[in-house]
Amino acid sequence: MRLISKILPVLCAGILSGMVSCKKDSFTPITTPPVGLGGDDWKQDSIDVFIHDSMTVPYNVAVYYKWEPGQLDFPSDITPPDAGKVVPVLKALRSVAYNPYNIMTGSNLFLRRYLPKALELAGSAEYLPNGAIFLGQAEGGTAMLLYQVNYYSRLKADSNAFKQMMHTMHHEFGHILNQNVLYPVSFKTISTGYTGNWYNISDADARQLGFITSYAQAAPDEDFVEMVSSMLAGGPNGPSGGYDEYEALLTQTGGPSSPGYQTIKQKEAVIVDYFQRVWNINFYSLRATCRTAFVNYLQ
Amino acid sequence: MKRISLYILVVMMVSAGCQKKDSDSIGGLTPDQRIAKALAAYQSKLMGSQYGWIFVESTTGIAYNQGVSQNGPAITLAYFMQFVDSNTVVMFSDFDTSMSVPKSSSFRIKELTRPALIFDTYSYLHVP
Repeated sequence: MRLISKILPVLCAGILSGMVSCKKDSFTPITTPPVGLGGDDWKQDSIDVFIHDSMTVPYNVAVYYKWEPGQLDFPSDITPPDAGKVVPVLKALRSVAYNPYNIMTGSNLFLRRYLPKALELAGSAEYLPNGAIFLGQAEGGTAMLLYQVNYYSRLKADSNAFKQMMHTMHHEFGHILNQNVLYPVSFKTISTGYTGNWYNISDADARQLGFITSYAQAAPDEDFVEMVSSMLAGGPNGPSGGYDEYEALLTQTGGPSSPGYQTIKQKEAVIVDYFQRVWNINFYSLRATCRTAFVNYLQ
Repeated sequence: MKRISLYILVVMMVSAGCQKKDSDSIGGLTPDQRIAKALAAYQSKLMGSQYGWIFVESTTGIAYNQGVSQNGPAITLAYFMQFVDSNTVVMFSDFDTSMSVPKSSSFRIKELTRPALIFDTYSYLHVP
């Protein structure tokens, strides 16, 4: 009690003196945003106009092609995309990866709703210390990352690189679809033997085991989207040594009676059913449309 | 005793009653104004050179990717750069003969922690 009676006057004095303290400078609000906070600004050129007109307006997608390390993986050596490749890549995506969905669903509303709102482009791939490379990423669901833009070519001779890019896009979009509505849980139990060491297994060996690519063996989610993208765009390291059609890939399983073939076919049935039931898309027609778009696009 | 606390009160009021100056301005410019001024100065310096700029880059011989180092040659490279407008640079390099063809790419001068020169689309600079 005695203590409080001693402290109280000092406290009061402190508060009082605080009240009388100085005149404060009047606050004047700034009229222009602080440097760097008004959004990025650079001279808009034909690339930016193209992105606005053919990606942002119809699909509500922002395309980032200028170097922004925070959008990629910091400790990796990745090069920015070549400005001259940006528009050709986007045109190819539009014709070969996006348009089939538009045709199947009747309008661009489906993609406008489900495409991730940001598409980020990088010139090279992201190389991992274990020798694997990232060709694309869509883990966050809000952004889709497409690497190796600088290797783009629509020549028939380079169809491998082109198919790889479309495979990547279908793969990432497959992720988006299964993140919106999950595939039947029973899919996860069709195969066993998912492993983090998928990069030590060749694609051909993976097919014997009932996985369409070795990456499909990484996890059920990857298995699902690798199936989708391999059916729509073909898969790597087929009988020809490069990207081959789904049917050609199946010959590496060991024939229709082999367990690998039957496992893959079982997965195919789940996917076709999933697309029909959840998205009301006939997967086989979608596949035919993708194939036509693809063949027509190569020069 | 009472008198002492009164004195203490008065002293406190007087010492607290000063005018506080809390300003980040230097030379009458706020940080934002100084940053904008510095960015504009760098921009005009880069573009102001009549014959362009020569950038010299020395590699250390060790490159890091995801924390894993790799050895390469320790070499010195030169780049000739002409900053043609506020976002475009034309350059060639002595890395190899194919890079004697001038290539146009984009750059930006942006405030990061300090004003930074960013080559934000693919150029010869990104090869080594």
